[in-house]
Amino acid sequence: MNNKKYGITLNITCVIIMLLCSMSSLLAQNTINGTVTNNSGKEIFGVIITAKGINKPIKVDLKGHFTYTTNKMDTLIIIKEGFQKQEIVVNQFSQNIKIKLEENKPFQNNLVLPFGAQINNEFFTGAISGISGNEMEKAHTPNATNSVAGRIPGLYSRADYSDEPGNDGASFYVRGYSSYNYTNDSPNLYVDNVPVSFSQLDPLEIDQLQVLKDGVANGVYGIGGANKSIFVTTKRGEAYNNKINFYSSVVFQKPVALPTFVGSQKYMQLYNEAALNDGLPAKYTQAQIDAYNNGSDPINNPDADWYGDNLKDYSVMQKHNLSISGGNNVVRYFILGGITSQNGLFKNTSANFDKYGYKTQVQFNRYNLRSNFDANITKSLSVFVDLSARIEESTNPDNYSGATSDIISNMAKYPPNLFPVVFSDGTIGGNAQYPNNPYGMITKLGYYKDVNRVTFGNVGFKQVLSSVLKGLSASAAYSFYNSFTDSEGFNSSSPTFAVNSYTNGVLQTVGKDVLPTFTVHSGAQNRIGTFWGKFDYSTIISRDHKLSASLGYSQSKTIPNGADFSYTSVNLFSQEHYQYKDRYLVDLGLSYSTTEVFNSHYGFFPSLGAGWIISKENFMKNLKMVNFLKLRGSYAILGNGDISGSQLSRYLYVNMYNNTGTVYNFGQTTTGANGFAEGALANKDVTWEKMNMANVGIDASLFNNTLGFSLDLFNERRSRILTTPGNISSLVGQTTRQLNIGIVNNHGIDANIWFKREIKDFSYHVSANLSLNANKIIYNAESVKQYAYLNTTGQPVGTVFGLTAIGFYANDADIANSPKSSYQQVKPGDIKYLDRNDDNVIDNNDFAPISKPWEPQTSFGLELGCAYKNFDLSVYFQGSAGYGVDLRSYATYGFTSGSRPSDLMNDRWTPSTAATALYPRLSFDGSNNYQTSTFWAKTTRFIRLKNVEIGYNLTSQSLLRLKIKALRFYLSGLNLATWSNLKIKYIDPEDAQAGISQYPRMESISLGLNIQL
Amino acid sequence: MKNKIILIQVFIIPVLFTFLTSSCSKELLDRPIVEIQESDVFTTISYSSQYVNDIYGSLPNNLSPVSGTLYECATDDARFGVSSNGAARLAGGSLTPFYNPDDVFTNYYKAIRKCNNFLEKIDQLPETDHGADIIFNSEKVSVIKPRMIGEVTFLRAFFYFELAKRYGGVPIILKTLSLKDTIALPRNSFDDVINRVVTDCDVAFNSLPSTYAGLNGSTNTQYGHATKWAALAFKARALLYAASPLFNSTNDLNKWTAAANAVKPFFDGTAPFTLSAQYSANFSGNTYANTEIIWARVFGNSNSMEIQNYPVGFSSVTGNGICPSQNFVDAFEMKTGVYDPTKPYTNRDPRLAEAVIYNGATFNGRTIQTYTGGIDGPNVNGGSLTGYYLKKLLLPTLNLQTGQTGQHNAIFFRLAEMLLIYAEALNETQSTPGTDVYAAVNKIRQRTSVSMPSLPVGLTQSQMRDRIRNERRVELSFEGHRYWDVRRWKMGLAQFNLPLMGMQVTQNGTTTTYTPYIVEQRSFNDKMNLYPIQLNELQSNPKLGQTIGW
Repeated sequence: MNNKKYGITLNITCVIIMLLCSMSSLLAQNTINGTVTNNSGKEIFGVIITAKGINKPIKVDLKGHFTYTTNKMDTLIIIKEGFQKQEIVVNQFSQNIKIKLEENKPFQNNLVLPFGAQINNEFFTGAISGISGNEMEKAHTPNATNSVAGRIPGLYSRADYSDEPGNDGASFYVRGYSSYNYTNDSPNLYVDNVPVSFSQLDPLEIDQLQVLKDGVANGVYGIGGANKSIFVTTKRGEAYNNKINFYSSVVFQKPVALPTFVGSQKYMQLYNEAALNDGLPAKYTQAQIDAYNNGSDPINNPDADWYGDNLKDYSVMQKHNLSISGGNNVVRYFILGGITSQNGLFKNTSANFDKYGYKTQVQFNRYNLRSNFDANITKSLSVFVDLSARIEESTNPDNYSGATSDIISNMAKYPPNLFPVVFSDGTIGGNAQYPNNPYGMITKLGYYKDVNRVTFGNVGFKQVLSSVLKGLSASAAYSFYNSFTDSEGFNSSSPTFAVNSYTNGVLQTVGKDVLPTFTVHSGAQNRIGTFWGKFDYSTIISRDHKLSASLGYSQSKTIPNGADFSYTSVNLFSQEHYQYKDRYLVDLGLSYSTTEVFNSHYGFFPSLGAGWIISKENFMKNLKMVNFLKLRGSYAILGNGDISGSQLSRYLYVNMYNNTGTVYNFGQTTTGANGFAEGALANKDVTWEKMNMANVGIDASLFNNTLGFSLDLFNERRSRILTTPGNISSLVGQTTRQLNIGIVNNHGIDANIWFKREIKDFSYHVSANLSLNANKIIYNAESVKQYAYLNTTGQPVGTVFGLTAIGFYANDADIANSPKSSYQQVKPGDIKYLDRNDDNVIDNNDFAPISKPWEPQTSFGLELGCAYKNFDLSVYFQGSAGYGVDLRSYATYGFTSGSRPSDLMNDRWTPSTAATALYPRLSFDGSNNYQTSTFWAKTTRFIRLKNVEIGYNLTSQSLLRLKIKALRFYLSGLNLATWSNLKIKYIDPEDAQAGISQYPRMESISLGLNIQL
Repeated sequence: MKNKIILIQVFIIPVLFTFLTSSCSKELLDRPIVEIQESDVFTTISYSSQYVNDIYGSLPNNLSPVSGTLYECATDDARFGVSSNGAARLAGGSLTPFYNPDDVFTNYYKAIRKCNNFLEKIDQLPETDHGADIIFNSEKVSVIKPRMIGEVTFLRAFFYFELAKRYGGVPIILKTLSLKDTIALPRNSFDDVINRVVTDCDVAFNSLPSTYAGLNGSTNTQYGHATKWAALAFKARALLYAASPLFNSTNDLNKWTAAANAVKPFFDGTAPFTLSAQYSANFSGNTYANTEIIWARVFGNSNSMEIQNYPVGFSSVTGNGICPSQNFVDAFEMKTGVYDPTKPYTNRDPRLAEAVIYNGATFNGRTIQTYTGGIDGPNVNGGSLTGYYLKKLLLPTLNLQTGQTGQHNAIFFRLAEMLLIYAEALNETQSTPGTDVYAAVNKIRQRTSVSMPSLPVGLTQSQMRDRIRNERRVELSFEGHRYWDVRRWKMGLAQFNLPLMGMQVTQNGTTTTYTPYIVEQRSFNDKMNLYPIQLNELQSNPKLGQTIGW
């Protein structure tokens, strides 16, 4: 009896009954008949019922009926995913009981906070948004960073890495930039409290990904809190909820669009046009051009199809996962094994397979393994042991890392008319000017393979210290993370291949075949060790006053590869949560922390949040339409102690003296004299960047929880941004290391709204989210510019500066009457720019802000979903706006930068098309036309149909007889359509180089199956 | 069982608590100390001497002091081959508070800081170790240390003068400033700066040796370090500038007298220098044994000057280099006879042939063809724009095709300049030029290889002034003087506004015709006598105040 715990809402009647039953416990065995249904009385499958008195689950039949025999008072615990946990007290007098499970209410999900703290979202005053791993899985992308775009209010992402297998991914930032030191401003990523990225985790091993957005949510991170955090937790086993899940999918990927470049005849005509434009003689005679007409002589008059001959129409990815989870009250486990295998698009990759035994496809294979164990050692001591391992293998053709982009670039650049891709006898086309035929790069130069091996262990315990003080517990965790990348592949001194072309029927060969030889390259290793430990105390002071408090310590040490020193942070933290009448809420966070660059120079970082659950007030009781309404606000002063730079360069307080090399000569026989000099002035007072963060939010759920929204407004001010001042008087006589002087303001909105409805067998939901931010450089100590419009102060971080295009030069008279271009001798059809300073010269002094930063400042997502009986459908749109894209690429260069014209050049300027031209005249010299200007730097917006999924779920009783709890088939599409204001269908709005000088953006169709046993 | 649990609980508390309180260990956060510290530099002679070397590195590279070329390209003496070159743009009047290719403000204050830092800290350098003298390069530190102090004091004066001659008065800073000090400092007057220069030169004069020969064995490994005579020569130059019209608006004769007195030891033989017999011997090769040069910058072997400036007909020459002007050639007197426009270079002051290469001259083994159509002519890519190539400062016999290089010792001070300072300063103090004035100028004109006639007797002060100024232009050509001389004489409007002339040479059979022609118009106004402070600098320190006229 004395070990039993009672719910806090236990009423007196219950106590009396209990007393009665314990007295009469030996008198009778009572069998209780029960049924579990949902709120509307519908039976539900897969309910798990345990009794506190016995350590095993109670059998529930297919209709939700169960029986339980007891002779004393006991508590039944009923658990079902998606429903609120219920505890029912039964005794030997209990008869038929009907249990109605309530579906999870909005805003009542459990939040997992840093260092093992947990709180119900209902009572938390900070701003946290998240997504579950199961939802992330819906994107079916191998890199998990690609599966959250537009899904989480406040999280901005840009898929700027193309979709090359093993080299994909997205950049992130939370609530936009609040500093112009980009590298110091990306969010901190944590997996189970360890500062590592989640990008290569299998989404199915992720339980929750939470974005910690405001000061209270990040409060305990102190000196590491200003950049905000993305906090990932991995899945754990649940007692008596034993599941075996098998997921399998096949994904067919194809490029969204590839650029179209002109064929041989057009190429030659345009080449002549460009030559004449530049005052050079035409290269091709009409007879030569005509000879390409009939296509009868592919040797002398070829029309190379670089893309078609080197890229397949589609590639295949497979992904298979098996996870086993469950356990009992003593031991719980979650075990996952997964394989992801993604193939690339290149053709002819088996050219050397028979002879040398290797293939040269772009390929990414990943093997994920995780086992998370929890065990109760004693009644008060529990431990967890999480071990995970991962192997990532990425391969690309050619003998160096990153060759894929070069191969794709050459497909875009190489001319079509000089030689075929490959001759019929297998010799490779090319000449001295174009020796790197993509076909040769794929087939002749071996491959390069990076193998990254990750081992990650995380162990910890929690000891309840009720013998010392009721409500007190201690917990601690230690982790190690080791990532070792080794590369292997082919790398002779330099493998080459011969290329051939015919000139007037005469074969000309350039270069020779030098075979690659197998080499293992040196590896690189990164290690991270973390420790945290804390005391937690929670108490219910009285019915109205609840308090929990913790005091802890954490440290983290990252040992990077190569000649660098460790990166270390230490943190003493404390967290308090106080609830009055369950509706007035206060969260307090304190951190006393530092990093290695400040050398024991600690900072104190407070955060405070307050909340008011209005819907719990008496005056709201009658307002039936409002189910939940909470106002919350927070304010914090957090820091960023992450100073970039390796070795001594990041210790800004160090005054270094440097060897300056041979500075002078002395002596009758002239000897170089070595010098030694003072380095840039140390910043003796170097300190962390300071972030004042304010947030106000409202959470509401209305109309019987069918409509809800969250709205957050934030205002941040980052000060003491490390900046090299451009405005310090030379009289000091020395440059200075970065000083804590910059200021950036940032503010914005994160919002989401959802609506869901159920009509008998049909249910549907709509949810939308929107993130907006605007920042401004208040002070960055920039040097004085000749013209105010050249200043970055007052502009958003990352604003693009360039010239303003005002049309094309119409004719020579126009050129003579216009300001002179300092870039080149311009001709009619070149881009004319605004002479902003009226000095009659177009030069870099005419640069002004012309486009938004490259990073989106608006991000949104819209999800529509419905389900009918066993079918479900979800449609997901995602988009960004208010950011810049640079359209300069081989598709727009014409003949400059060694490029070949794309079909866009049909709209080039010629004297006859001057009025309608969209692109400048063809030329070999782009120094005027390809300046950064409004012509190429475009402020952009787009919407993608990111995801559509149709699923069929089988959860019938017949399946259950086969021991299959659930079965799901689905068909899913990714990146199915994109609408942007760029209006060029093959230019991806997130990565303008995709498919042109990088691997293409891919759209995909997945077929998948999920069996749950 | 229960006891056990309590035991565990009791055990856990102190363990965790220890972590909480003590594990913020210093060790975890410590950074490895691997850098050279300030204390190492100023307590170790090998580092201290290298620190001084580094200060020498801040001296102007007087083979390419401005935009990779000579100051003369920004004067009426020459034109640089590429019009976008900074010196060429200066000559065209492009100087503004936003554009100054010769803006040395930041660099010289950096150099001054190096000096101040050294002078503040060098006291720490030990001279003895356990009672025994510390020896470095076979010299006692107790000897080296005061000498280094002298050198650094001299160098600081040098840097201040470089600033003052460009910007007028500048703030005098004699200690290292930190960002916590007041760094918004106003200018000191030009005279203040000169006084400081003079004081520092006197200190240096007293601490520096007369020569470094024999200090570390038979080879003079220290040649090129400042000597006491360098300090004196420099002081004389500074005083001359201070007495000049630009900086001496009231024509205070005492200033001229001060300059004359300072330089007199070079005239009266107190200073151990004599004019070289060969004028050209001063400008090429290793001048270690030269008796005329007071102080020079020693360069390692190179041929970049030659690659740029040899007549373009030689192979491996890039051309587009320094093109001496007709204005310059016209400054050379006839040695004998009357000027013959068909033979413009015959019987001229022999220094002309040492300074420029003209049509028909023999250079590096062949006859130079600057005529239109000639291999060195104006229609050859990179060919001279003026009809002349530079000869002075170049090593005349390099074979560039084989990549031959040679040593250049570029002059800071030489005796001829001192004699001309003496003549100029003395002339200004005498209503009728005295014998010393004549003697100083004639010494130069009568150098063995020059042997020009003596100045005619009976010149007025003003006539003598003109002769001395012309003598400076001719004798000290391409040594970085004219750009500053014209400014300090306030002659810019008269000289630097003249069109720049070249000589068109036409070969017709055996007849050669010489026709002067305008190469380009030049632009100068009086405010350009001193440089504007660049706007960024002015905004960083508003107390500086813009240079008058800007």
